[in-house]
Amino acid sequence: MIEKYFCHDDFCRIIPPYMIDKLLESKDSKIRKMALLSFKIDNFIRSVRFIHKKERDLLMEELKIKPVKIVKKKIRHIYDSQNSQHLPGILVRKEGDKLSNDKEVDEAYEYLGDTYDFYNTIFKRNSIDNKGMRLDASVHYGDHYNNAFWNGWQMVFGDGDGKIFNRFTLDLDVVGHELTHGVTQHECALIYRFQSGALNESFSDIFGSMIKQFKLNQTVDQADWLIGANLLIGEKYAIRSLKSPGTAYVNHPQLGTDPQPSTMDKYKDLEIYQDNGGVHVNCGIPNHAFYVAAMELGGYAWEKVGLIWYKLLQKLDSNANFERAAKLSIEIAEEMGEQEREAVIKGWKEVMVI
Amino acid sequence: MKIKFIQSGGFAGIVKEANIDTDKIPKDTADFFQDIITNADFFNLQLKDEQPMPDVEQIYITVEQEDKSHMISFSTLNIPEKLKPLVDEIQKQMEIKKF
Ligand SMILES: [Zn+2]
Repeated sequence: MIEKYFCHDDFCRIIPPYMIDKLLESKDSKIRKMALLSFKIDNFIRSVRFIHKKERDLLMEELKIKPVKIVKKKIRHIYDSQNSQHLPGILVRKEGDKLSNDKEVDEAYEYLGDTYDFYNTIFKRNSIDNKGMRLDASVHYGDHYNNAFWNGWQMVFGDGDGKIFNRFTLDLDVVGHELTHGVTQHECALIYRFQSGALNESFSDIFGSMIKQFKLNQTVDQADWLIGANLLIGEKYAIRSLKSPGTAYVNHPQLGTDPQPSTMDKYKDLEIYQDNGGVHVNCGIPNHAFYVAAMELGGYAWEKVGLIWYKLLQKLDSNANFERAAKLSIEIAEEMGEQEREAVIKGWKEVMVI
Repeated sequence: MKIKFIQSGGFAGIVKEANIDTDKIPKDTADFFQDIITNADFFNLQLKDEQPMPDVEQIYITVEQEDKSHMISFSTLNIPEKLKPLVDEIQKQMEIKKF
């Protein structure tokens, strides 16, 4: 009942959280006030979704006087959309609950945990927003739905059609990719169009891949650097390759051949109506720059070049292009040492951004 | 009437398209599309420019009729109610654009 009045998803479309964050910083006190109200409603909706009216009213009262608490532990909620397009759906597994015996639910739960652990252990980051935000994911979204996405609040995973795509919870790198969109939103909020959008995608691929490497304890030369190796059905297919963009799938019967370029001279100048200006296509270029730098430095990707890219994510502006990312990452690397600087320069040179 | 339909922006970066020429399809289907376009007042439809969301598919519909042409876009999470039957129908006919 409550959901009807405060539809989670509809609200998101009105004021996305990253915008609320920006509004909270506004010099105009009226705007700050409005943003604060939205922020309270947001948290209110999140908390009241499953409680009674009486309790809801009490909670409202409470919210007026109490500030929102920063949580310092991992909290996951997995919902089941039951093959509808309703979000978030029914809560089926929350933090600490036993296995649900629904593989999509349990994979999402496990991989959200792995992603949280990676960011927390390596970068001391406290969840998506660094303020302990609860990790919400809905599975079984839509009917044989061939996609996964981040809607500004939560992750959403489809079951796949079983012909081209497997279930979207199958690969840890895919789950890590989606969650990293949330991290990006709370850091530099890269605009999801053209080059800034391709950088947004690239951060998700890079961190998604590192999260998998971290779980498997792989060094850079042991990693496969693939995204969605199990998601795309067929032994020899994956969605993207950071090691060799353009080769993740070749002559696929339905999809053709992976269109990703790995160098700027092959950059695909696509229109806005083609993948928001090729965000999933041209991300091959910064992806490969990262790969080259990581291989140059060796060891575990997250130790050096991963740290540089994490700092880059915090420093970039929302409309940054590849050149800006290259320049800033080289500056960050310089502070770490000569070897790091040279490796990052090599990466961006190889993909012809500099 | 010509309808150009593009859906793209999902996780896998796939671009799906459908091109419909109502002169070249059965009359009842052509009427079905025409009714929806008329009822939705398509040529005067102005939708709010949405910030694209990561990996959420975006739909672009361009309709050409006589000397008129109009394009609108919206995300698959936010399909205008009056266009839903048209979207559902055309989605069945989409083909993946191979690069
Ligand atoms: Zn993405």
